Amino acid sequence: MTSLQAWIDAARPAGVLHPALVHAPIGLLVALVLVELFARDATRVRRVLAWALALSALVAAGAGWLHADGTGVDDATIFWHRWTGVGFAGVALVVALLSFASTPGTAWRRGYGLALVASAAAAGVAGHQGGELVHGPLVFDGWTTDDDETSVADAPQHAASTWLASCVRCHGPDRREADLRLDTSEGLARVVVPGAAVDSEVYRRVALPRDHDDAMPPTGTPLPPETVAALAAWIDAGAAGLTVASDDAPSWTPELLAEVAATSGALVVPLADAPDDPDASRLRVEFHTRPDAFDPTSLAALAPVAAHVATLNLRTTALDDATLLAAPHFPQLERLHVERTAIGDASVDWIARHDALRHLNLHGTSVTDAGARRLARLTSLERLVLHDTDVGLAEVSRLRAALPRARITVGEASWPTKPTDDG
Amino acid sequence: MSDAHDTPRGCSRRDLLTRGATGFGLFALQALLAGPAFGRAPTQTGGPRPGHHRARARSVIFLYMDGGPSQVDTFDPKPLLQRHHGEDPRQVIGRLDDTQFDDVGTILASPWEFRRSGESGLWISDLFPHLRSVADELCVLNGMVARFPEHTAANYFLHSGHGLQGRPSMGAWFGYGLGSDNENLPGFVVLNGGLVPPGGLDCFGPGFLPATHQGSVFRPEGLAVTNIEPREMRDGDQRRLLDVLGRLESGDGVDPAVDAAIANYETAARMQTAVPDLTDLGDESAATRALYGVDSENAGTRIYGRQCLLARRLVERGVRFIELTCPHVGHDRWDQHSNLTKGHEDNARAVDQPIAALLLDLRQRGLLDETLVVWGGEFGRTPFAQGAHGRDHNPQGYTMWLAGAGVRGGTVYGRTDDFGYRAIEGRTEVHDLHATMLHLCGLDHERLTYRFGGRDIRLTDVFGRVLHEVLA
Repeated sequence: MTSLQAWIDAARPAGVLHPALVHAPIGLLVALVLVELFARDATRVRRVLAWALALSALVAAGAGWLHADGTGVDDATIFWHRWTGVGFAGVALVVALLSFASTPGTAWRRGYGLALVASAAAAGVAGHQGGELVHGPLVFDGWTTDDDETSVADAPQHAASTWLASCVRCHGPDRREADLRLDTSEGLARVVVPGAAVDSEVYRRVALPRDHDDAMPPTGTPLPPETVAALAAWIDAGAAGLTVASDDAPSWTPELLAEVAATSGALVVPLADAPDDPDASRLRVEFHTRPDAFDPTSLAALAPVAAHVATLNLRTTALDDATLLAAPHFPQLERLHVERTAIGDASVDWIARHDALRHLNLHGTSVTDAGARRLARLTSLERLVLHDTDVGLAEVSRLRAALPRARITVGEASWPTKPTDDG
Repeated sequence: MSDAHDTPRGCSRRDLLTRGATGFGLFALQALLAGPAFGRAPTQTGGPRPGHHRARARSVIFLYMDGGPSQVDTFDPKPLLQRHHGEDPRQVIGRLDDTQFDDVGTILASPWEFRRSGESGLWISDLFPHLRSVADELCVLNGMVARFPEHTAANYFLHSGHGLQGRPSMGAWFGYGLGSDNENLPGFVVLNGGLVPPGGLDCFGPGFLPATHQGSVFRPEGLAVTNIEPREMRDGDQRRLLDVLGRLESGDGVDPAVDAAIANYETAARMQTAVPDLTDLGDESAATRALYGVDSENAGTRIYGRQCLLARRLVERGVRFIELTCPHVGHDRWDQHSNLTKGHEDNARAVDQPIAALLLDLRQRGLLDETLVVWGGEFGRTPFAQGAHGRDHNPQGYTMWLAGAGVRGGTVYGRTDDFGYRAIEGRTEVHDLHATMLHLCGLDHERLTYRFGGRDIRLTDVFGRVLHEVLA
């Protein structure tokens, strides 16, 4: 059973071919119907076409089954499409089997005719459902009006959404062509460069000549010139009202990072540079590669980017309790290095306020049992380094019990087991 | 309002297709113009920048085992060698591949006992008694294969992913991809214990990458860097010279080679204070010095202990890539074509305690989970003898190990056959190792490219698979 599952998992990527594969049985079905209408005595052609139809329908249905699990679309639609598709493949198999009935007028032959009609019907239903899955529910121009309630649901900006109302039919909640929704701030932000209409994709598309490949809308009536002009004016004036509120969007710019780096003396670098990676907005801020650049004002200088700091490394700097206690709060701080600095128990209050901490290095500080005890509330800790501190082994045991997820490191500065020979 | 026929972009898709019809060269031109989108924009000065994804490791320490240690005498025990000791390998193993010296002797059992070590029960031979205490940190790769059976080409391949001289060393690729976090020290430091690998300093070269990224060779004892002491009569003269040089070459990126040379001068000037601070071990405790064996009576241990301690100090200072070469131990590197017992024992004695100390010390200081440690040579050795008591080169299967950041410790990946001759499971190419090292440091080996000679070239060429099986 597990090996069958392994085979299915291995074949799953082939499922994406389903939308392409479905066209083979449909074409073969059309050919078979034409044979029945105009070449009824072509027995061999009938059988070949019928079997090709059955096999291609089975392959398409199989691919569809694999594909269905990965799409994440509405369950009911998928459910019905799955079974009409399988039904079509089943009926096509019946067509193929009955295609051996060669004598006209027999019951077998009538059954063949009925099966052919049934397979055409099943193909129609399954094809329609498949189309809806790919392109969204059927929409006819003219049935949907501009003041339709769904079209401008959470439009951020009255002007833009009114001008672009006709775009929303395809780039809206229903169809999302090019994965673009022009009825949301996020979608608009992708195609609008505030202050520069000429650089804005939405303006470029609607201003293009009709015969251009990229012109929008691709068919039908172009936007009226006065609407295009109003759109350009709105964008050039700064696209007022278009603000994107996203948790992941960095509120810093490369210029701000450079400025913070210059005023604080730190190295300030994003954790990643892929735009869709949440780590791309998080920062590592490090002083250990240039400890001499650290002074008591350095931490305050980080305030403009404090919300994004994930790693803060103060190893071997002139940090002390007073400086750290005056530092801003870093809500996303996951990794803190304060090893071999002059801090002690007083700093623990500041440290323990950072709930997101996963890695804390206190090696070579003067933290004692009293300070370590207050670290027990940092339940996210995965690593705590207490080597060469004044924390006793009894307190370490208590911490290990309080923080079962954390690996706590204490000193082992001599060989734990005497090596067997010439060491 | 602009003319409706004005296309806001210079070249429409239709235009491009029309012009492209006479030759697909235009598509290539488009790709060239879009250059940086395919690789990373080259940096001359090597300032820090983010990787492709979040890094598990900040620094890499490569413990290069010059000459090719024997897998069946270190981490890959093969009891069948004991049973068939002294027999003809062609009878026992079957067909053999050509060896370098074509002097195939009999099956040679390991002279060393293997013991299970740590909670993981990893097999480690008596060559590495100290290393047993950190066995649970090691991820042993027993399915390594090399593409070359000879030192020079194999060393180029191990270091640069290419069997010929002239490609960038892996340390240079890390610097190119991530920049250097420490402006006072080079991003790629080679701590030279005394042996220079066959293939020479080209093993540490920048190839076609900007010269800033080349490996800087430091000596562990005495003056670490040649000519590091300023020769100018007055303080400040050197600064003024560099300023003049900077003004002469104003404007940016006029010639990348000149930019890189100036950047190297600037780094060298800052190194004049950073290097003495680095190599002054006065602030290390007696316990730490004893741990590493810095004052050992064995000269090899003494040198390699210093190298390992310096490696830790370089990691603390944010240096990206550190390679350690082996010390002279009185006779040959790990290349025991004869005299296996004495040769391997002396080479192992030099590195065993320092390496164990390095892992232990990095761990207790909380640095091991941001440092990737890689151990190994350019190939392994034959399970049968060369002559009476040597082992010849064997690229078909050998051992390297990883430890530290993001690596699953206390595990073995890959397997050789019952004689330790050929890799038969978890076969790992050097390209796979490189891909995994880059991955742990936040770089995607398929996207880290540099355009040279008309191609976007990678450290892993067109190969390489990240070994997700060994990642924690």
